[in-house]
Amino acid sequence: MKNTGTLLVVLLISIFVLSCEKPDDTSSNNSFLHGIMITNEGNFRDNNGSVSYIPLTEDTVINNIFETVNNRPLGDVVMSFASWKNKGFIVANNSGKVEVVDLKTFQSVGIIEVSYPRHIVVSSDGKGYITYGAFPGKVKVFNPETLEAITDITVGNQPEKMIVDGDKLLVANGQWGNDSTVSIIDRTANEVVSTIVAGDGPVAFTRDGSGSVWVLCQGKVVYSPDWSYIEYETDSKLVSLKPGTYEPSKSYVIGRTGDYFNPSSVASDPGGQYVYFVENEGVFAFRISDSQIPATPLIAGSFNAVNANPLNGRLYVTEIQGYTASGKVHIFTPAGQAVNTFVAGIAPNGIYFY
Amino acid sequence: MLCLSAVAETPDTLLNYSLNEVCIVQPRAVYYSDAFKIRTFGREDLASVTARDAGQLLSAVSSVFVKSYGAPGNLTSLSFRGTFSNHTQVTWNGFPLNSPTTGDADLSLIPLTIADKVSLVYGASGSLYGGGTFGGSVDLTSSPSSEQGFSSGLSTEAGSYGSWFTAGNIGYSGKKVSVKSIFFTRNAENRYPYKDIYKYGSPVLTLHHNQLRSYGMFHTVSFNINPSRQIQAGIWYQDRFKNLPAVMGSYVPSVATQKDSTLKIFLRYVRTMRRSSLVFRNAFFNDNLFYNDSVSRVHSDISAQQYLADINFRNIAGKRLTWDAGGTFQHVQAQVDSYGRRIAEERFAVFTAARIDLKAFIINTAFRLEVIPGIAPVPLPSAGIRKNFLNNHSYVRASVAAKYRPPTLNEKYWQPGGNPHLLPEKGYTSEIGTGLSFTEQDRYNLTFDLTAFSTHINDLIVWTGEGNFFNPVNYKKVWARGAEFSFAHSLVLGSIKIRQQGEITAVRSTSTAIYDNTSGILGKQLRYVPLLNAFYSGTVQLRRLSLTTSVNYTGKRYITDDHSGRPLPSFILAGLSAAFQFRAHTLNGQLYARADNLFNTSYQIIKGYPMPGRFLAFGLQLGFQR
Repeated sequence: MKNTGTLLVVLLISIFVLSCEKPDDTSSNNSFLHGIMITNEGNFRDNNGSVSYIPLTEDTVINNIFETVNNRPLGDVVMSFASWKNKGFIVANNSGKVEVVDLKTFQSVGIIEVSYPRHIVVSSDGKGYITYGAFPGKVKVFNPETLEAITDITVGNQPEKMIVDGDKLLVANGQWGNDSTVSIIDRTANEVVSTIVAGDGPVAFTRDGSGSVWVLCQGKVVYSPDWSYIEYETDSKLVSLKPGTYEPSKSYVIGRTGDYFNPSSVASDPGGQYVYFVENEGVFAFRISDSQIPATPLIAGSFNAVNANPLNGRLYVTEIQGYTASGKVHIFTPAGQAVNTFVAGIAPNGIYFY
Repeated sequence: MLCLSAVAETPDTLLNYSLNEVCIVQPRAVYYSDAFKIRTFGREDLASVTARDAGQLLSAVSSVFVKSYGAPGNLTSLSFRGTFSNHTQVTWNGFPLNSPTTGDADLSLIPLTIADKVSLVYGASGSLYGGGTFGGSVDLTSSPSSEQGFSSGLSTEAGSYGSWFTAGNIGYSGKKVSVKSIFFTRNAENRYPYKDIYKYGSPVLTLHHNQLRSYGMFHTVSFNINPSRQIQAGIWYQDRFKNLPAVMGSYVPSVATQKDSTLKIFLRYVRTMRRSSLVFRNAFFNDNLFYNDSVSRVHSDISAQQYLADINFRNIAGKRLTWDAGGTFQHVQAQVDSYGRRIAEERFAVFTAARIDLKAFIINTAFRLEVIPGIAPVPLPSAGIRKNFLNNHSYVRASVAAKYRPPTLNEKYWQPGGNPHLLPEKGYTSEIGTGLSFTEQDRYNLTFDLTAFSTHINDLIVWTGEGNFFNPVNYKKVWARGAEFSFAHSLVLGSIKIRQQGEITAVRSTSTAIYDNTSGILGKQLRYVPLLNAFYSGTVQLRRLSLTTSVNYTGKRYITDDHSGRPLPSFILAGLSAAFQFRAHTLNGQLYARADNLFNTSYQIIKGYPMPGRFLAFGLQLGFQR
C-alpha cells in the first residue's frame, strides 16, 4: 500500500512537472508546501469531500490529491484547511476528524478526532485552533507539532471561522443565525476574555489595511413555530470592529432579506483597501473608505466563496454546481476580468493561500 | 356462469379462471400483459425465502439493481432499468405502497411471509398503474388459503450476527369462508465486522448501533356470498425499530434511530356475471415514520394516511375481445413538521383497457387519465402487440407505454424550498422482446427471453441548491435504454430434478439535457446505475434433498453525475444452500441451511455503508394441513 502511494506521488509529480510551462521553481517541483488549496465539501454522506491544489504559478489544478496519495477518501463534508510548517490540516466535518498531512507528499501523518469540527486555524507561533460543536460550541486548542490537545474553550452557539489578531483569537458564533456574538479569546491564558455582540449570525472575518478586523454576519431567518411562514428575517451585514476592544464601529447592510442567500465568505485585497464578499448577485468589492456598499457586484454570478491572492491581488471565486457534479474555481483580475477557470471537486467552499 | 379463459398453460397465466367454483378475476395488470414482460415468483419460489424481505428476493433472483444500506432490515430501494427509487411502483393487492411523501418504497419493510405471489413487471405502463413506473413495478399478492380445511404452519430461521426470524400462520378454508392469520417477527443484532477502508490503516471494525427489531401480523378473510359474489378483507400491521449506523470513516458514533409503523386495511368486493365482472376494492393505509438523532438534533415525525378506491368493470365481449373500464380515487393526507401544516389531496383517474385476440396476434391497448391537483390532467395511453409462433414456442412482443410521475408531497410542500408548481415528470417506454421455448412435457423445459427497452423521462425532478437552500426543480431529461437476456431451464433425470435460471441486464442511463448550465454531466451514466447486472441460480434436487448455488454480479457505479472521484467497484456474490424436505401424514416441512456471500466479499452498495460478510442461516419450516 505504502509503495503504491509513493509511486503514485512520484507519478503525479512527474506529470505535474512535465505539464509546467514556466521554468521550474524548486518548491513547486516536489510538493504542496506552498500554493493555493481549495476545500471541496462533497455530497453529504457520500464521503467524497476533497481538496484541490493550485500551484503559485496559477496554471493548473490537481484534484482529489488526498485520495490519490493515501488510497482512501478524505472524508465527508470537507470545509477547512490550515497549514503550519510542512503540515497541512484538513477538516472533515461529518467524519468527526481533522486529517493531518505532510505537505511535501500529501501523505497522511495523523488524525485529530473532534466531534462536529467546523474550521481550523494555526497561528504563526505554533498554536492550533478548531471550532467544533454547536450548542454551545467550543474551540479546541492543540499543538500542531505533536497533534496533542491542550485545552477546550467554550464559546457561543455554532461557532464558525476564526481570526488570529496578535495575542487574541476571535471566534464568530452564529452559523444558521443561531447566535450574534464574537468571542474574544486571550491566546496566552486560553480563555474567553470578552464577548461582543456584532450582528445576527457572525460567520467569517477579514482584516483591512489599518489592521481592523471585519466580521461578516449572515443575518437570521426566524420561522413561525409551525414552520409555515417566515416571521422575520434580519439583514446580512458587514461590521468593522474597533482595534483593541473589538466593539463594532461601522456596520453595513449587504444583500437583501428574502433572497435565501446566506453569505459565508469575506476577504480583503493585499493593499487592505477593499473588502470582498459573496452575495446573491455575485462578488462585491467594497472600498472601505466609501460610505456605502456598492449596489452592483464587481463580478456577477452565482458564487460561493471568495479570496484574494496576496501575491497579485487576483480574485479566486468558487462556484458550486450542485452536490453531484464538480464545481469550479474562477480566477479574476482585481478589476473583475476573467483570467482562468478550473474544474475543482464537488461543491468547493473555501480558498486558502499559504 | 361463464368464466372464460384464453390461451394459457397454468393457472398463473389464465386470464380469468375458476377455482372451487368461484371465478377468480385477474387484476388488469395481469390481464392486459400479453405484450409486456413479467416475471412471476409463485409459491414454490417463495417457499424458501419466507424469512426474508422483498428486497432480498429481488437481489438474489433478479438482475434488478437493489440498493441496500446494509444488513437486511436496512432501507432498501430499487433501481429498475436505470431509473431512480421513486420510479418503481411497489403494489400490494393492487394498492401502491410507495410513500406519498417521498415516492419511494422501502422493500425491507415488505416481509415475504405475507406474499403468495410476487411479480416483477418490467414494462409497467402508466395506463395500468398510474404514476411512478418509469422503471417498472413490483406487485405482491396476498391471497386467502385455497386448500380446503385447516392449515397451520411455523417458520423459523436463525442466522449470523444475531439474526432470527419466526412466523406462524393458521388458516381455515371452507366452501364459503376462508381465513388466514400470520404473525411474524424479525430481529437482528447486525454487529458484523467490516474493513473501514476510509480510516487510516483500514482497520477491521465492528458495526455498532445497527440493531433491528420488527414484528407484525396479517389477517385475511374471504367470504363467498354465492358463486358470483365474493368479499375479501385483510389487515396488515407492522412495526420496525431500527438503529442507524454511522457511515464508514466517521469517528463519531451514531445515535440515530428510526421507527416505521404501518397499518393497512383493505376490502375487496367481486361480482361476476355471465360475461362480465365488477371488482370494487378499497384500502386505508396509516403510515408513520419517526426519526431521531439527538447528536445532530434532527427529529422528524412523518405521518401519512391514505384512502384508496378502485373500481374495475370487465366485459368479455366475445371470444376475441375483452375490455375494462373504471376509475380510481385516492385521498392522501400527511402531517410532516416541515410542511408547516396538514396537507390533504384528492386524486382520481379514469381508465379503459382492451385485449383483442386476432388469432394471428394479440393486441393490448389501454388509456388512463390522471387528475392530480396542481397539474394539468395527464393522459397515459399504451399499446402493445404480441405474436406467437411455432405452436406457441416462440413469440415476439412490442409495446409503447406512456409514463409519468407526479411530484411527491415533499417536493411540493417541504419548507423551505418545496414547489407546489412543479411539473410532473413525463415520458414513455418502448420495448421489444422475443422468446423461445423448448419443452417436453414432464421432462424438460428451456426458455429464453431477449428484451430491449428505451425509456425517456422529461422534466426529471432533482433537489438542487447551494449551501443553505435546496429546492426541487424540473432539472433534466434522462434516457435509459438497455437489454435483458434471461433463461430458465428445468430437467428431470429419473429421480433428479434440475432447475436453473439466470438473467443479464445491460443498462445505459444518461442525462440528455440539463436545464441550467451545469457542465460535465451530459451523456454520462447516472450515478448509482450500474452498466451491467447479472444473476444465476441453479438447484439440483434428489428426492427430498436439494442443493442450490447462486451467483450475482453488480457492475461499478459512479457516485457523481460527472464521474469525478472514484466509482464504487463492481462485486460478485456467491450463495449456497441445502434443503431437506419431509412429510409425515398431515405434517410437511423442510429443514435448510444457507450461506450468503459465501466468499466473504467486502463490498458497498451505497457508498459508506458496509455490507455484511459471510452470512449463515439455518431454518425450519413446518406445515400442517387437515
